[in-house]
Amino acid sequence: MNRLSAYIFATIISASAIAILYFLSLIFLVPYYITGILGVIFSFFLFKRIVSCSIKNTVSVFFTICTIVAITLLVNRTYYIANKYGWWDAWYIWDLHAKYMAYPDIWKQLFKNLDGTHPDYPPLLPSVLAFFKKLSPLNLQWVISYGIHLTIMMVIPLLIFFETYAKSVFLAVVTLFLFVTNDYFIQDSMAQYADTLLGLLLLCAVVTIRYSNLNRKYVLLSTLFISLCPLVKNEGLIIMLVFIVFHSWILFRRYNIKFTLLGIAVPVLFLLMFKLFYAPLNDMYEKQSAQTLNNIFDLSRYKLILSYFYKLLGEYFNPIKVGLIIYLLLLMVYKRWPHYQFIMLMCIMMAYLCIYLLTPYDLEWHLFTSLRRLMHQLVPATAFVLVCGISGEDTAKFQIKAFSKHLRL
Amino acid sequence: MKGAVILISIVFSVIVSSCLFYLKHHDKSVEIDLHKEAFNHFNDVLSRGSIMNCIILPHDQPVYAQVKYAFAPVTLYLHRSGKHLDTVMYVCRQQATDSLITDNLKGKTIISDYKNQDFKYIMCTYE
Repeated sequence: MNRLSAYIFATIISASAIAILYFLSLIFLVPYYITGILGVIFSFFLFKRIVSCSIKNTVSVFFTICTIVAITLLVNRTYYIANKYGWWDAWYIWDLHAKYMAYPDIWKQLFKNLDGTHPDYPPLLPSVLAFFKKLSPLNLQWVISYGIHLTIMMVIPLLIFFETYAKSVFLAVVTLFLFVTNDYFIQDSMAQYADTLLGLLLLCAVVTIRYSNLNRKYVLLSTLFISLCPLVKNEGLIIMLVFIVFHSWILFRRYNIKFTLLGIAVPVLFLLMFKLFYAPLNDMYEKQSAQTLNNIFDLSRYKLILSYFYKLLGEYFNPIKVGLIIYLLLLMVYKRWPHYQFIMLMCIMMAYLCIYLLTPYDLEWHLFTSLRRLMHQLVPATAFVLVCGISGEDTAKFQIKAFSKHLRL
Repeated sequence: MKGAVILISIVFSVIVSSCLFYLKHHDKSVEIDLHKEAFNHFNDVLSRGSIMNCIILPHDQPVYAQVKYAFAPVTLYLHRSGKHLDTVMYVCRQQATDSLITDNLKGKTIISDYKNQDFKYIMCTYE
């Protein structure tokens, strides 16, 4: 693995560890400075371990220039596009939760405020925001949110670039600049929602699992990333389950199972604790009724969901749409099966669309308010898988065979 | 060496961008002062503990003045936990119509309200 990617992975894991530590410190009334010290020690240890697994490869001048130009372009566009407080969900849900969590004496009131603020949403992002916001004065806290979300957004195209550059320089550069000049990507990322972080974690899991044949520690890293997904958003659970099923032939190999369980253990235990002892019931689950069954058999709902999906794909995700067409054409020409990670991402998208079938809310309103965000979550991993596929790196036929063999299909 | 340059430029760009963004928006950071007098008013009404914090509505966006999002709850953080846990303060722009306000307050009891030049503040509890 590229050393630059390793730094990105280490930063994400460290921030997540700090978030979990901070949330636990709220429960067990541990002073903030102790959490801070523990967080720094833990991060130092994690950085050392993760970076030591990587390879220090030579970075060319062209690579460096591309990266710096891309960062400059992205920062420049963000300056004009970004909104001071993000959009609705940011200041009504994510930032509000962070504000509660910033006060150890009243943070539990968060779970009593049920007026549309979704206290059942997982606490990873608010916890990170709360931890870092406490370091700054009150009137500067919105800048901290901006900085954190900018970092999350910036890391996505860079990680794809770092990981695909060796496969195809042309595709890596094109993908990088498509990302940093895409106003919709910047807009959705700087809305300050949790979707971009979820997309980043899925991307990290998809990237790291590809190194599992080099070092079993990558299995640990990948499972850690994927099991952090349900701690970011509830739909992260779908991502995690589908990922585990599709990678079961790697994750549950005799020599890997220990690392898999180790990676999953802490986030899953933390999630269970949060859901069982703190979070109220999810509104979607709570509002289910006999009508749900009727919804499943209502063909007009399928039609509406699919038409909305295609509309958004054409309107906001054009580069992905073009990439998909090229990839599928190449598969047809070379008579290959798609890579199993591509099928996995399609399955996650299908699962998302199925949720809309069951929604107790007005379908059109629900699609309007959330489908674009769900698609945004899958953009980073899809872009990475498409670049690998188009560059010819994935020997798809072999992968599918291996996958079927291990599943004993 | 080049790898270090990349890492430094990532960190540097985030810091510089945050500073520039702060300079772009800091003069609009008057929301706290804008709402402060309302908070003091309600604090007197409730006379229990001080209000620690609130959501700052992005009032500088015109879209919020027209649509339903103009009417958003601002949860108050009271020092003393207890009886007013379900107290919610709603802030809306002066342009918000009475019907919009009534629609949004269904199921809630008004304790007190307050108006200033730009906003209407309504303090409610859940019924």
